[in-house]
Formats: sequence, C-alpha cells, structure tokens
Amino acid sequence: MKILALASVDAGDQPEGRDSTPDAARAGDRAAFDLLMRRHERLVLGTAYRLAGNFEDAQDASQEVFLRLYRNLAKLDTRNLAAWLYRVTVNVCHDVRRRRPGTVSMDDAPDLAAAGDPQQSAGEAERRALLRRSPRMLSEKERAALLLRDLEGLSTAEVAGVLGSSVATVRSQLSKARLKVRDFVERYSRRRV
Amino acid sequence: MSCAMWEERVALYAGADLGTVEAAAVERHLSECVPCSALAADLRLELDELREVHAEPLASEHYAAVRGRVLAQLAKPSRRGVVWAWAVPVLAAAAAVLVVVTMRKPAARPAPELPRLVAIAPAVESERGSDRSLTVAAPIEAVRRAGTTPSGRTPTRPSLR
Repeated sequence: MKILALASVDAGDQPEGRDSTPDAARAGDRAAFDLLMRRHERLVLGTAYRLAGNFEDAQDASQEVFLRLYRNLAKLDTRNLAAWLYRVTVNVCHDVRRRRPGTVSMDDAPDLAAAGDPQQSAGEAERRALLRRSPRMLSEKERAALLLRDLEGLSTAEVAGVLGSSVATVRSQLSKARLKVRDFVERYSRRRV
Repeated sequence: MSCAMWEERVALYAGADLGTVEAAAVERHLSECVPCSALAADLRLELDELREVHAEPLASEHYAAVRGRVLAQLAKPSRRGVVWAWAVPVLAAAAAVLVVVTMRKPAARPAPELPRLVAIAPAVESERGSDRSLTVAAPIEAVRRAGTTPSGRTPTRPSLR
C-alpha cells in the first residue's frame, strides 16, 4: 500500500506513527481531532464530491465519515488511515445515494450536457464540462474504481482492497468506465458542434 | 481477435494497468490497427483531461462547513448521556423518598380485639331496636372510632342483671 501510506504522510506535517495528534484525539482532545480532520479533509470531501456529484450529499457523507472516524479512533491503526477513510467514504456515499436516488442514466445525457454554462463557447470549455460530469454516467462501482485509480492515483490492487473486490473485477470496471467516459464525451461533443 | 475484443485491453493499456507481457501484445496490435491506435490515443488524452478537470481544488468554505458540522455534532451530548442525565437524579430522588418513608413508618398498632367488639354489637342492637344494617355497621364503625359506639357514647358492658 505504497500510495496510501504516502497519502497519510502527505496530509500532515510528519508521519502519523511519530505524531501525537491521533493519541490526543483518542483521549478526547477536540482540537487534535480538528487537526486530524484538516489533514484528511481533501481526501474525504474530494472523494465524496466526485462520487456524489453535488456538495450537499458530499458534505453529508463527509460528516458521517469523520463521525465514524471519531467513534472508531480507539481501535484504528492510524498508519493505515487513508485506506480506511477511502473505504468508509465510498461506503457512506453509496448509502447516501441509496437514500436519495438521483442516478443519471445515459438517456439523460443530452440534458446533462446542455446543463453547462451557456456563456462558455463550444469546444474546449464544453469538453471540460462534459469531462467533469462524465463520472455521473457510470455505475457506482465503475465510478468508484475510476475515481480511486485514475483521479486519486491508487494502484489497481489498492482499489480492489478499498472496494472489497478482486483485482480482475476492478480491471474490468476500469476498462468499462474509461470506454464509457470516452463514448460520452465524443458523442455529445460531436452532437453539439 | 476483432478490434471489439481488443477494446478492453486498450482501455487498460491507456491507464498503464497491464503487465509487461500484456502491454507488449497490445502495442503489437496498435502498430497494425489504425482504429485501435486512435482509440488508445483518445483514451490517454481523455484520462489526462479528466485528471486535470478533477484536480481543481474545492472552495475552502466546503471543508470548513464539514469540520464545523462534525465538531458541533461532537459537542452535543450523546443520547446515552441524555438518558443518564435524566436517570441519575430521578433514581436518586426515588431512593431518598424510599429512605424517608421507611424511616418515618410508625410501629404497627395492635389490632383491635374483635371478640370485645362482637361483644359490644348486641348492646348497640339493643339500643337501636331492630335496624339490622346497624348491626353490621356497628363493629366497623366501632373500630374506626377506636373504642366508641356509633352513638358516640362509651360502650358499656351488657348488664348482667
């Protein structure tokens, strides 16, 4: 878990193994827990936003993730915190989506593509808007695999660990997700030109 | 193998997810197949653009909002805490009441001597004539008044004369 270990170190000032912040947070120090949240908020909220597709759901999911972190601090190995946070964020986002179903299918894609800023000219800006929205066209598992591998930079094995799947399943999800994103962007870019 | 069957491998190749042997096989195919070569180039470009687009940082107020909500939630007393906050004073008050009641409970009074009351009843009946209800009520009333007759007079023993 090379990348996940680096993600934890990168989030703070020093490696958490030598850091007293998790211990202080475990002891009930709210300032220490606030610091712990600040270290990992980009991971949690960024992942949640890309998975959920909107800030309301992403903030709800992130709040739940950090509350679970607080409740589980005593039994967590904080050296592997990034992996735990990715896994819980993905699971909580799935729960939030189940409670508020708003899945956008490929059939809704024209409306979705038209929802871009009308001031933006066709071409590059529109293509970027399509790319930004393209993960919403994917199934939950495809989206999670694409996000963790291609946007967060985890290895295929790490993605499999986070999602609780086999490497072969993740590879299949990744290839489908990449091809769907490409089809979506190409189809609606051409249609609007 | 048709190009459709290569698509999945090409997509993995574009994301550097193939081992050395598989990657070499895909590269051989790409060198011979123009559509698959174009597909690989498109996929690489779109992955780069996707990373760029999603690398844009979120506004700091979103992070602050989450932190604020979490800390506010932690500051609230937990449900278990609320239950105990009520339960402890209530239980303490109940225990105190029980102790006071136990301490103040008077010693049991000796029960009135029923044979004596039964002995009084004929006297009452004889004073009131044939009213049978008084015959029944008289001993009860006599117990309540602790030693007085229904008429309020001190009971007297029936005359033996």
